[in-house]
Amino acid sequence: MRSFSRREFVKVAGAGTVVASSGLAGCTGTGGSGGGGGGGIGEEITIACPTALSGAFAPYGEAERDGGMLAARHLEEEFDVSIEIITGDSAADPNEAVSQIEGMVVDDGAHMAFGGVSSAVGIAVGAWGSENQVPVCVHGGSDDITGSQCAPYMFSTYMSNTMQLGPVAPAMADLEDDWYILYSDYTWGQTAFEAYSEALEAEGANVVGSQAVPFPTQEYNPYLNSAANSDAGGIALLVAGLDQRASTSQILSREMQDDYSFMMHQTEDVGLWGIDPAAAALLDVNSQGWSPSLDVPEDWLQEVAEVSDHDPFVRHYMGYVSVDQLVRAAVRADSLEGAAIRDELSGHEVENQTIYDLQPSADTIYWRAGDHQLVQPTHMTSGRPVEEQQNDPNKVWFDVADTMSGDDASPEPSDECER
Amino acid sequence: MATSTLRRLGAGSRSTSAVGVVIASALLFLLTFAVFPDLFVQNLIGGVAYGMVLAIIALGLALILGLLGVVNFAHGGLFMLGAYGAYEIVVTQGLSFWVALVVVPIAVGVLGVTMEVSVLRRLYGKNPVIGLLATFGVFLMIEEATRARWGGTPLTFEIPTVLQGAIPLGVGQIATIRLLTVVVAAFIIVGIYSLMYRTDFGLTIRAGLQDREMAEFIGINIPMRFTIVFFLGSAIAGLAGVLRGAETGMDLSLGFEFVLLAFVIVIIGGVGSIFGSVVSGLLVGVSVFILPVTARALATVTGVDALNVAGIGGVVPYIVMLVVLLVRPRGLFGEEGLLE
Repeated sequence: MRSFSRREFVKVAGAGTVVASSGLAGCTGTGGSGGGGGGGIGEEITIACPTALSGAFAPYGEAERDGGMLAARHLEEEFDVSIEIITGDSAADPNEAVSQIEGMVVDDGAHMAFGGVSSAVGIAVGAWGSENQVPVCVHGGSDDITGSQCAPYMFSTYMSNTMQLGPVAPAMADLEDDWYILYSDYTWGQTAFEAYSEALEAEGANVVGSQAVPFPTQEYNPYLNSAANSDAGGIALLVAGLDQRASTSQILSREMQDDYSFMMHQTEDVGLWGIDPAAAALLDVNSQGWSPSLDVPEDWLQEVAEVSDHDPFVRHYMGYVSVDQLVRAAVRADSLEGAAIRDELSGHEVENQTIYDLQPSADTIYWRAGDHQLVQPTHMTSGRPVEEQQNDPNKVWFDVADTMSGDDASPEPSDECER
Repeated sequence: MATSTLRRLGAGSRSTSAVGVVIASALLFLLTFAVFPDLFVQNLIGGVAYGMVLAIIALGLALILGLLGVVNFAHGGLFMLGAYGAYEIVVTQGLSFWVALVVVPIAVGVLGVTMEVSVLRRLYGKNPVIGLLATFGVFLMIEEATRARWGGTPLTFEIPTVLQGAIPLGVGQIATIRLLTVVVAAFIIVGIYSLMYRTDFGLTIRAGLQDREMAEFIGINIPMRFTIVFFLGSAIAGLAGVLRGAETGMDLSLGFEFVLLAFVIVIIGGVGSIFGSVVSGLLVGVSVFILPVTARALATVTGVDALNVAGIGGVVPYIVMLVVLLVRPRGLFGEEGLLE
């Protein structure tokens, strides 16, 4: 019966961890037809989408893919092109993502790429794309994407952390004098923490304490205990992905919502749909890159519902914009060469009216030449009271309380970024 | 020098190390209490409660591994199914959470038995890697079936009003649903221990483990008993899933995340020891809550900020495992000779 030793068990358990980690990563790469670059765009454009399709980030990755597919449908109607989006499961792991994009470009002939879900993945695939002259639109909020890690073929569709905090930091300072910050302990959370600390102090508020939270974690109680012992009036949650769900659900279960003000950074609706709606209601201040509560065309929301298993949220918007902009750049360049697409996109002012319908803006939305940041409005939202939350035909749990124009929210391109 | 003498010297050295680790830990805890008294007490209480959550998740795994010798990676899948099963009962069927608390563990237990009879029974006594791969395959099947049935979007269900909110403890508070988990875990632990060590049924199972041939020779139906053990282990996983799902909701990463932690707890507690898994769960739970505060206390006292290691909480279970394996390779309560 038990014919193995304890040492064998420890070995096997370790092997199991490795098997599981690799087994859960990257199982769903799909084939696609290749296509050569150069000499016009021809009839078929192949776009790689290395993103999370398994694990905790799967809803985010699926929404990016679905938003991209909707954009492809619209582009095919507008232009005489055929667009194929091929996916590879990054499982939110940078190394796996690089392996996936490499396969899709080398084996399947992808001409451009988008996706990533996390900043770490975005930076990894953006770096690979830059080494291989493949334009990549990445969807992470870390300032490193347009700063220390910027790369010539990497474009940032998502607003940077610094952009996102633009309309939020003054609201936080108005709300409370003293804040305690919990942040996810990886590049996105670390850069967000630095940005918020500086911004809050500039606004006259104090950061009375902070803790790096391992990412991901399902147990927020020790960190909430620390925050509760800090004399802060507000708790800032700079936590990513499903940690947004874990942290708010544990705040609710401890009944802390009436004792503190709460702020969440880069709130993504899908993370809160899995818990008590009161979790969204407790968030007094949020930074959001896009919200279904914006005055968005109903038919676009309906089309998202047709192509996606998820109600519209920010990742659909990001996927849509990335594919739209990459393909339009190729059409303008009349080329699928990476360098030509890159040159078309860099510094380009967005012309497609649909983008302006989705992201209402009095100012021009454009790709900044210096660091390839898509300069667009950012939003400060507040959680709706539960009784005011909309669930049909699609979920709307937040209200946009303030919007800052892209130019006002964007810092100057980083000196570290040399294209 | 004789081999036995070397072993004695090695054992003596490890005993000294163990005493050193205990004394150092006690001193660090005292320091933490002195610097952050309220936070220390809050985290101690929170850590014990979290430890019980971990213990009940690991208990089913420990039962199956310790008694049957199966490295059951599917345990995480069964745990996840418990959460999704509760969602099915409460949201889809519109029944009470209390119904889910009873029905779902039984259903998950039956599924576990199906897995044992159809897959694992053929693998007893074979290389454990085969069992690991087989159960990992079952885990993936459960995960994909869950995705097909309930989708990839995180889900939750409403719990009874009596379980909502928190109970004040003087210093801090504890969520009522977590308190229920602690109480249920305590009952399950006592129940399993009593079953295995205070009943004839448990005696026959342990006899079968020591000498299956002899046990069967005197008329004990060993396969039936092992199937019952698998049912119990799976049902406990399902029960833990129901309670965890009630507290935090569920998503497809739930099973994978906790099965790794459960393996760590079993290793620390000692393979084959049910009691060890309970103590190990508590140790890991308290450590996860206390050690980051200890790091802050050390940094405060010494003025060396580098001691306040950012994000140390995530590696605490592995630090504890490392220390325990260094000073006691068989785990805290692993029996000498068992599985060696």
